[in-house]
Amino acid sequence: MNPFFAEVATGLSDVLRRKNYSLLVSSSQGDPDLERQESSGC
Amino acid sequence: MIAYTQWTVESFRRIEEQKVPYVLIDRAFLGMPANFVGVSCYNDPTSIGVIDAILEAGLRVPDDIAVIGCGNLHFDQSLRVPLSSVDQQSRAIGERAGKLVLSLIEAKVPPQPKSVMLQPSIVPRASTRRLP
Repeated sequence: MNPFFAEVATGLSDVLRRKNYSLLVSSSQGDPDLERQESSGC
Repeated sequence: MIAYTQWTVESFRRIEEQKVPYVLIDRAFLGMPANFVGVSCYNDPTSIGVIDAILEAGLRVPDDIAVIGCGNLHFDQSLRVPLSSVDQQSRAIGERAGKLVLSLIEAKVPPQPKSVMLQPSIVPRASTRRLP
């Protein structure tokens, strides 16, 4: 994964954790089929 | 200051394989004198590949070719040639996105979409130099 997204995810989870939310990350590699598959578990 | 290359599906795949720096350097030096002084890369890992290719070609960074990346990763200072980079405030982007998500969750009515722009800055290190 591009390290840019790792840093974005760190900032994102810091803010969400304060409100008792947690962050789940998955990578679809720009593939719509994979994105559908990854998000179907939510 | 910048060497442009043509972006194709093939060259994009080569970036993912970290092979694009070699393609770019080959194209720049095959049968013609270098007519540029630097390479600007869209992220720091690509810059690392570009610096490797330049050094392996027997050239110097930044004296022959300067290199700048984007992302200002924590290890940039510790590279063989410390890498100049654009700090795009990646972590702050995540924090702002997190606040927007929270406001979406807590909103009574759906808020309007909006764009937030954070000011990037250049962090100069040894891979670039000031031109005379």
